[in-house]
Amino acid sequence: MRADGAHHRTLRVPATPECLERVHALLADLLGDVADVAEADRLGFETALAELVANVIEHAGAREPVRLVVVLAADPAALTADLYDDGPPAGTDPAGASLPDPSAERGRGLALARAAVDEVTYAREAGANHWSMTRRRRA
Amino acid sequence: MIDVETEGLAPDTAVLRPHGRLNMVLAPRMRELVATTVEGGRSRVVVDLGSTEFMDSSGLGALIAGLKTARQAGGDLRIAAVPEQVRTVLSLTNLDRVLRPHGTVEQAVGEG
Repeated sequence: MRADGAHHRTLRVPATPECLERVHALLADLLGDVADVAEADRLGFETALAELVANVIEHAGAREPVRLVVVLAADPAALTADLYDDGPPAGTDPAGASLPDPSAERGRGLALARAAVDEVTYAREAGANHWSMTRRRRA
Repeated sequence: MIDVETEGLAPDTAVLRPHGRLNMVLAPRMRELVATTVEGGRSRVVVDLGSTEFMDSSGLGALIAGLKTARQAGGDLRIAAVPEQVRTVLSLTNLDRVLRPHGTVEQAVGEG
């Protein structure tokens, strides 16, 4: 733990479906260091994190292995995640994500991520996609 | 991994039990299994989520696909033993009325 009370974990992986298990494990490892994270905070954060990572993996498609960096942080006020990938521009605006018709079989990922945490942002920075999300701790 | 249980159940009923995370890795298998189960004459499908650690939007999409497949065959797809994370996903996507959580598999099989 650092002086500011924050804990961090970083993972560098190819953006493939197999990396999802490692992202869940990374979060579990981080939360093992943080006392008293409310269940609702953990569930909301993990749900949004998995959606953003899945989004990167889907967008990477069958191209050359896209590299993904996941940085997780937890402090007394918030849980945050930053995802960086060198895939093609995501070309999506999380602020515009909305839920499709109830009978739709796909297209809910970003809207779900936005609903599960307080903030989701996206920016294209220096040839990389940067997703950022924050869940302010309720407890 | 997804178990399919038919023993001791009515001939039109099956219980599917996904283990682990129902995400982009397992969701295609889930869709396929519901389709073959319904094609095989068991259109009343109960998905027991008691061993499902986590579900994402692709898992949810597979359940919606399964619901449509089952209903088109005159049956239904119901979910049982739904963990908190899955309830969160259903509620945040406004699908908790479309896929209403049943307490136990027995209740899901038995109700209407």
